[in-house]
Amino acid sequence: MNKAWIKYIVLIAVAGLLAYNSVYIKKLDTKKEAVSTKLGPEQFGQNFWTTQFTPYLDSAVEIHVFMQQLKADSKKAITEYSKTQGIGSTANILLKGEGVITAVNDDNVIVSVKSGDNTMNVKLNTGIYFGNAVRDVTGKISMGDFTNTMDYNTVSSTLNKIVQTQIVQPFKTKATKSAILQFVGCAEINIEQINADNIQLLPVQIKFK
Amino acid sequence: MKKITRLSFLLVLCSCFIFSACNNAGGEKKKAKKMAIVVSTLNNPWFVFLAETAAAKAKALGYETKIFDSQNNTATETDNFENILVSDYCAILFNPTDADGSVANVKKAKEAGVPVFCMDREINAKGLATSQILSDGYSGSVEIAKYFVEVLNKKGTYVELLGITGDNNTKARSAGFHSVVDNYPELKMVAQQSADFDRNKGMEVMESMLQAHPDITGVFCGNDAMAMGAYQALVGAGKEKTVKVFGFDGADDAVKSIKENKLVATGMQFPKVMAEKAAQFADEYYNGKREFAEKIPVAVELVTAKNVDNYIGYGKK
Repeated sequence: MNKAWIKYIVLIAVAGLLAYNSVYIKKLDTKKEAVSTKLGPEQFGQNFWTTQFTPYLDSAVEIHVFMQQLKADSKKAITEYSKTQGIGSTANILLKGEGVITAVNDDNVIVSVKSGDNTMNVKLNTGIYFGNAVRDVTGKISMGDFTNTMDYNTVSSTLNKIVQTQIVQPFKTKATKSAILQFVGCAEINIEQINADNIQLLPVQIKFK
Repeated sequence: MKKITRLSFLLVLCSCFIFSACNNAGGEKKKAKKMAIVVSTLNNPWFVFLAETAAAKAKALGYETKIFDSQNNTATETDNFENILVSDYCAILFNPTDADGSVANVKKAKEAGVPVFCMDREINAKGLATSQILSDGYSGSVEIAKYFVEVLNKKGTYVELLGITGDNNTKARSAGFHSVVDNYPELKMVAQQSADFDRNKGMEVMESMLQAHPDITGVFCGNDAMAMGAYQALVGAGKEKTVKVFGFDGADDAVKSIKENKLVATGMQFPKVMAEKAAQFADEYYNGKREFAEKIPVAVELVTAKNVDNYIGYGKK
């Protein structure tokens, strides 16, 4: 083997080694987590509300459509429309409708929703909300996005505070009997004990007509 | 021209070498069908159940198993990992002692090519454990707190017994509980102290709290062992009928105590689900699967006198 060959082998081996150690492939999930960590959970929650949750409201399912399917085939309806997190019995669904307020109570407002010949009463909760439906209903946030689970929980409480101050409180103030409104709300359904006659929603968008 | 041909030949040769090096980095020597189960403590029946269930599932899947007790001590946990990593185990089913303190051990295992599957408790790191199957303690405590508010009728004084201070479950359970209860200004917490998830310490802490605060009407405990200890202290003081005790875990004696109207409620975790899922994941890993959700929350359910008949210790009937 002549000197030129040895030179080429050494040069290319060095170049190859450098190239191998210069390129790292990371999953996009890692990048997403880095963003959430960088922002802090409160800021992450606020950004999520504006940039992801609010646009997602357009994908809410008509409440009558969902209820009909739930009564006909609950498993299919839950699979088709809901989002779940991990292992458990809670399914989260974003539902929408239009109706007339028939009662204003301390912790809820009852809305009568009409569809063709059918009328149903929908309970919109206006008390303090402590669950995770707002965080979980889009399916866009998972526990694995966070290094520390407390951050994941803080995102949920941040979103609940936003809903409480920006949606529920103004709604509570304006809600009067006979008022007509359009609503979008999060429903939490226990898939082991489905009660199709008692669906309650946490309002996340209210438009009075 | 000759030079160019030679150069091209060498380039192709080196590329093959580099690609083969890349592939070898991902290649692993098949280890023995042995799983190690490392638990934070065997001094608490809940963790004994977690460890034994994981071992039973692994055995059913065809693996040899050995249970290691970290005795709530990260140094002991480190010794356990060192022994495991020189003993050709193919996976570690792991219940960490400390969310931060256990990270280094998982890192060592990863570097040694041994996958780690966390059960119940998390480590504060991403990309080290292959998967973490975790109790959703925060949401479970939210449910307990809502019932606590209802039972205490939104008023009165209460105390809280915390678990081990470095553990994320301690923080999550307490934070979930306070995220609800702190919204009711007439419910006042008058004392909060750690009893290390231990029954005897729970009794001792409760005894001293009762001396300082004899008029409390409620106690929230970060686990059932402390709740049982607190209940014993209340019996000793003759206050078991006036002070409502709430636990967390779904341990066998706590479920029985709810039936007997001694404890008011607990949060049912599902150690069987977590332990079996961890063993199943480890088996799938052994058989070549590499993509796992990094963290999986397992829901916690509220158990009260109203629904206790649906449950047994550590799970549903």
